[in-house]
Amino acid sequence: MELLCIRQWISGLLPTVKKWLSAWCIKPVGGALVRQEPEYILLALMGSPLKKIMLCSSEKEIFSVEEQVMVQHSVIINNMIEDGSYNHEESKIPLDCVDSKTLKKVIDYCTHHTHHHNDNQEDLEAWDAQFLNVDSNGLYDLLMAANYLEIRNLLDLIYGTIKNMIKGKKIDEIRRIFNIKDHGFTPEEEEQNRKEYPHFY
Amino acid sequence: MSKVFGFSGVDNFCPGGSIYACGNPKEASLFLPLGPQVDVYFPPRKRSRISAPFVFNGEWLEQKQKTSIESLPDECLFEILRRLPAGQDRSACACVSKRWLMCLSNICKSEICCNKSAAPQSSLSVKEGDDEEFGGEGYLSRSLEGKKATDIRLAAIAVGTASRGGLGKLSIRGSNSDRVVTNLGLKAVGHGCPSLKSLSLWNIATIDDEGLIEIANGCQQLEKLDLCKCPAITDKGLIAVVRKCPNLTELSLESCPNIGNECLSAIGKSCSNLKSIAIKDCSSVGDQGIACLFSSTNLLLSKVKLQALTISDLSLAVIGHYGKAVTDLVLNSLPNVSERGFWVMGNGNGLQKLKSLTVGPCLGLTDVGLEAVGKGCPNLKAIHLRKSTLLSDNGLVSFVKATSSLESLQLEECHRISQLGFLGVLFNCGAILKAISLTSCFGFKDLNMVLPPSSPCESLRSLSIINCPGFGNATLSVLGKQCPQLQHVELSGLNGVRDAGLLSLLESNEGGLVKVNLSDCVNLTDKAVSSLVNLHGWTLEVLNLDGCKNVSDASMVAIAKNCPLLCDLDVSKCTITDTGIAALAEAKQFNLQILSLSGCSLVSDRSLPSLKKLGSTLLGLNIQHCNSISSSTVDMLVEQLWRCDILS
Repeated sequence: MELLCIRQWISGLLPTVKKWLSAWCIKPVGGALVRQEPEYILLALMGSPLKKIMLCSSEKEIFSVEEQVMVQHSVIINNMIEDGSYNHEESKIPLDCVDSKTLKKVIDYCTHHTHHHNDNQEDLEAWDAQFLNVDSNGLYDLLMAANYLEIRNLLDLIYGTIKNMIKGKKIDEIRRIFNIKDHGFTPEEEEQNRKEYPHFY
Repeated sequence: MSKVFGFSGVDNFCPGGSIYACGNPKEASLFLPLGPQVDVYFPPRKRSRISAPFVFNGEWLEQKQKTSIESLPDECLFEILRRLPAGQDRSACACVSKRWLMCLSNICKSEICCNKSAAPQSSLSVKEGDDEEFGGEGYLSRSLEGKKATDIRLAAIAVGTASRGGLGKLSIRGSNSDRVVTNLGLKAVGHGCPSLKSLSLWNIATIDDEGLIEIANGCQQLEKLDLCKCPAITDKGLIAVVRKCPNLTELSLESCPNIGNECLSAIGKSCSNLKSIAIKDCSSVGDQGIACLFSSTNLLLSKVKLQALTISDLSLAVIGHYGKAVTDLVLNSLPNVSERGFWVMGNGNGLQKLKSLTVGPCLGLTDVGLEAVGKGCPNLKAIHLRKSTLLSDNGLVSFVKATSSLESLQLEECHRISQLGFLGVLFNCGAILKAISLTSCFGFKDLNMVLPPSSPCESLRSLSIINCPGFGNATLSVLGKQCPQLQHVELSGLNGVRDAGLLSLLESNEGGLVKVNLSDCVNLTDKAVSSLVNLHGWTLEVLNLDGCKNVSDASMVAIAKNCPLLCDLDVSKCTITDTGIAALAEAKQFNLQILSLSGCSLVSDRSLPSLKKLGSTLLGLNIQHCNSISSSTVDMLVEQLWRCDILS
């Protein structure tokens, strides 16, 4: 491609690029990156966030997502890309233990947090709360996926949510929520617990 | 089932469950929008074409779910539970299921993370239960015995006490049942009870070094450790405790065959606060260990008990030389210690602070040995010798001559001691001896002796002769003359004592007897008791006539008249009738607190009013085996004497 075409293409992208740049903390320092020369911008964008990677769910569905988004959040994917085992042109990352629905949600989470990084705390938390408004099975699937992909902040979020599900509830309720049918105590032990903590039951 | 789903009716066969379970991933068009409506959004169903052998309901759905929230892997459960702050919630979760309990008990203090409060401005306000210090100050104490001693109970205790003040004292008595305490339980305690101060483990064969190491890591404020019959614990575990718990002050080891010298030398090197050590029946402990223990410079033991060990004279030599801070020494059943050991111990001149010495069945304690000990311990105040069969009168007397500060002498089953030795002690004791006690010394024979005049022993306050069959009137009268200041007299089980002997003792006594125990002296009669209360009633506080069959109502009348200070009276098995009790009740200024009438079969229901009258001051009443008192009377008594503790 001729340089002129590249220039035009990049100039067309500039507004979007600026937005992305601010989102990924590549802030213009002292105006340096704001120089409108496309070559500089191209340089800055080398290894660029425009690169996409393919994630393959357990149902063999392919999801295409920006590399920078996943690399920022998932330790596993970051490691895979860093050590070069992932070939951008051909390969897809197989995630056999994550199904499509969950994978889409995970990608949603990562993308939102990457793009809305600068939003204030309350808005982010409100979005997170909405995001986790799923049934317990859905929550479990998300937890497993986040655990597998090692997405630290999503994990913390889910743990915190589950912890809040437990907090303040009575034991019978907790057993119902977590579907614990066999508590494993002998009848004497259960009896003892009920006597010692009657207000928990 | 898969056959059913292989049926290719796309629109008209719509199961109610998650579409992904049906195994048709190729149908991307069935990719549903996300959100909680997943299970609800479906095109309208027609009836299935195949008569399905199952029913569409929730149960079926659950069967199809292979993974869901109850099958959280352990590490996820751990992460969730560790975010719960110490408090009510943790205790509640400990009761949810066994798995949760074990997971909770594995969380130690450093792993709990408190969640950052959502609204930063409320960081100063503390939610209920959040600020409770994990592990507390150690106010609580728990004890598990027998069948209840299981890992689960331990885990529950560890989690439950963490938020309610913390566990300070734990004692576990094992048993031979199936469910036992293992290292897991101790691990839970180690993680959850950082304020544990006293731990006592008895009879637990399933605990070994690992468990003790967990305790050492987690409970670094441990002060007292008591191990008994724990055969799997070896030096390694105990060394870990010794190294990590700098506050250890008391250590007691019994019947732990695998704990030996290595551990004792580690104690000698690392423990600077250990004050009391008791080692009993540990076959691996030998001279080397004891030597290291005592010869270390930073360890100043004050209470030492060594029993049933294979140590020899060398250990005693070390103790005698290095035991500079020892104040209480107990040596029981040391078969390899000989006379030389005691002699060297006495001559070592190290036991300067020794106040109390107790020596059990040791063949090594002979006259020579005892005398050396007497000479070498200038501050010895109390000595208790049991079963010293080789000790003779001469040895005893020379010992008493050699000591300069002896206040209390107790002899038990020393059969070579006779009244010569006894009297020798009295003559030679100087003005310091306060208490003498002889129990079961069969060497006594009551002989009429003509004794040289000598100054009486003014300092003796307490005399106790129990079950020495040869003790009789003659010795008693000599005693009376020799010890005029007695306050506490105990003559128990002495058939040879009769009224005359007791009378002479009472008459010689100038100080006034305070406590008199004449139990089982069957030959004493009312005459003796009457003289006793006549002469000494104005100081008498405690009178015990248990088993004196010949004592009857006349004594009770005398007691009632003469003993205003009496607070404890025991007339069990005496020939007391209702008249006697009535007489007691009529006493003026009577302040009786404890009355024992057990075995008095002649006391009947007619005593009820007298007992009620006495009951105004009584705190304890024993009417066991009073066959003539009916149960209705007993019930009435219990009802009316509500302040009194009644045994019936």
